[in-house]
Amino acid sequence: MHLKPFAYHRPLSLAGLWDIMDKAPSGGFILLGGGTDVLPRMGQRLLAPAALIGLKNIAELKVIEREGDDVFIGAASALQHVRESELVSRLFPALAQAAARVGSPQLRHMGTIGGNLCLDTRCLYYNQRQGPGAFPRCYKKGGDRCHVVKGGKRCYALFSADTPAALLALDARVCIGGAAGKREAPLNEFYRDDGIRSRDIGEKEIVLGIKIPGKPVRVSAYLRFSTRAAIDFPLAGLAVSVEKSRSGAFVNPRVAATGICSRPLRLAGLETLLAGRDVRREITEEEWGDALKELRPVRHQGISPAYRKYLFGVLMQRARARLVP
Amino acid sequence: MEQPIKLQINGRSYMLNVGPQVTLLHVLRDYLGLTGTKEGCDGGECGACTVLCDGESVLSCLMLALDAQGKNILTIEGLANNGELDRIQEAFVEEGAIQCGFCTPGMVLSTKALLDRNPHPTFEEIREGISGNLCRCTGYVKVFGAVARLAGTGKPFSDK
Ligand SMILES: Cc1cc2nc3c(=O)[nH]c(=O)nc-3n(C[C@H](O)[C@H](O)[C@H](O)COP(=O)(O)OP(=O)(O)OC[C@H]3O[C@@H](n4cnc5c(N)ncnc54)[C@H](O)[C@@H]3O)c2cc1C
Ligand code: SF4
Repeated sequence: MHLKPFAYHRPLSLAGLWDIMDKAPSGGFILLGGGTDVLPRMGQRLLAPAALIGLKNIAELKVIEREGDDVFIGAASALQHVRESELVSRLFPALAQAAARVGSPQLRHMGTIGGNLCLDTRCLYYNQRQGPGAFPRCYKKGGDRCHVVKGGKRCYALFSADTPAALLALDARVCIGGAAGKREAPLNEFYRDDGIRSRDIGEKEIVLGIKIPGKPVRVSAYLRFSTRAAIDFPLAGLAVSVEKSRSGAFVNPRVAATGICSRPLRLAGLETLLAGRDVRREITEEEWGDALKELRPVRHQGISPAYRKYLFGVLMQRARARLVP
Repeated sequence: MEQPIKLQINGRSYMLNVGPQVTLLHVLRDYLGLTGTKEGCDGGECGACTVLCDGESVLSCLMLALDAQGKNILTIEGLANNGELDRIQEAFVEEGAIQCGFCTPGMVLSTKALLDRNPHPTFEEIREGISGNLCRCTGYVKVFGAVARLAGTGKPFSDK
C-alpha cells in the first residue's frame, strides 16, 4: 500500500499520549489501534491524516483483568487475546464468539477491541478507492446527497463491527479518557444512529477500554451471517444474553444487533418477546416477524430490507437454541 | 521523514532508512528483495502478504515497517534450511497443494502459525487456521490435505 507521508507517534504511556494529543492541531491526527481499518481507508484515499498516534505500545491499554465483580478489557487488547482470554470465554461467551468472527486470524492478531468498538460505518458507495470513476460525493464525503436513500437527508452508512453487539447484550460500559480525566458511560449511550459520527467521543479523548459486569451471571451467544464465512463483514449479527436462572426462563433478556443501522442496536421488540418465556420454547416466524415490525433497515450491501429482517429473525431462532442449558 | 530502523527478519538483522508511511510488505519486497511475500489485494482481504510476527500470522500490507521493530519477523524465505524444504513446504509439494503458487507463501505461514501452537488441530481448527488466505486455484481441498497430513488428522473429505 502506498500511503501519503504522515508523522507517526508511538507513545509508551497514557501520560505520553495525552501530551502528544494536547500538542496536536485540531483534526490533525487519527488514533491507530491495529490499523486494520484505518490503513485500508488511507490506501483508498478516504483518510489523509497529518499524523497517526499508535496505541499498541501503551501497556495500560492491553490488560484484561478483574475489577471487583467486573472485568476490564483494555482498548489495545488484540481481538485474538480477547477471544482466548479464560475470563472472557468463561464469563462472556457472546464476546468470545463475536471476537472470533472478526475478519480472519491475521486480522484478529492485529485488530484491537478498541478499534472494533470505534470502527467507522461502512457503505458500498463510500468504501472504495477514490479517484476517477469513484461515486460522486455523498454526505460522508462532504457532498450533498445519499446514494443509498435517494432524497435522504443524512448518511445511513452501516455499522458492522461484531463485538459491540455482544457488548451491548452484556450491559457493558465504555471507559473514556483524555488529559482532563476519565469518564464512564453505558455502551448504549456511546453510539448514535448517524453514519458520519456514530460515536459520542471528543476529539482529544480515547476509549480506554470496556467494563463488563460479571454479576448477575449471564448466559450469552453471538451469531452472524456474512456473504463469505471468513474475511468478511457481517450482513447481520445478533447477540443474546439472559440472566442465569433455575427456572429456565429468559430473565432480563438483552438482544442486540449489528449491521442494522449506523449504530449497534438493542432490539426492544425481541427483548419483550423473550422476557419471562421458557428458553426451551421455540420462536416462530410469526412471533419474530411481529417483534421486528418496528424495524426499518435501509437497502445496504446489496440485500433488501425484508431479507435483512429475515436474517435477524433466523439468527434469533438459532440463538435461542444456543441458550438452552 | 525517513528514520533509521533495525528489523529482525528470518534471524538476520537489517538496518535501513524508511518513512512512517512505508509498510512492512513494501520493505520486504522493494527494499530487501524478499519477494516471496506476495502483494495481492493490498488491503487486508486476501492473505497473500502473510508473515509471522513473533510467531503470530499478520498481514504485512497493513503493518507499518516502524511497528515491526523489535519483533521477530519470519517470511517464506526463512523456512527452508540449507536448501532443504521445511516439512510444511514438503507436505504442500507432496499433496499437490500448490497450483499457481501465489497464495502459497501465505498459506504455508498460516499453517506454521497454526501448527506451532497446536500441533494436532481438528478439521474445524484447520479450516479456521487457513481461513485468512484466499486461493483461487486449488479449491482448498489439497491444501486441507497437506495440513491434515501434518496434523495427523487423516484424510479430509474421505467420505466422498
Ligand atoms: C478484509 C477485512 C475484513 C474485516 N472483517 C471484519 C469483520 O468481520 N467484523 C468486524 O467487526 N470488523 C472487520 N474488519 C474491520 C477491522 O479489521 C476490525 O473491526 C478491527 O477490530 C479494527 O480494529 P483495529 O485496531 O485494527 O482498528 P484501527 O483501524 O486501528 O481503528 C479503527 C477506528 O477506531 C479508532 N480507534 C482505535 N482505537 C481507538 C481507541 N482506543 N479510542 C478511540 N478510537 C480508537 C481509529 O481512530 C479508527 O477510527 C475487517 C477488515 C478487513 C480489512
Ligand atoms: S449511506 Fe449515503 S451518504 Fe452515507 S456513505 Fe452511503 S451513499 Fe454516502
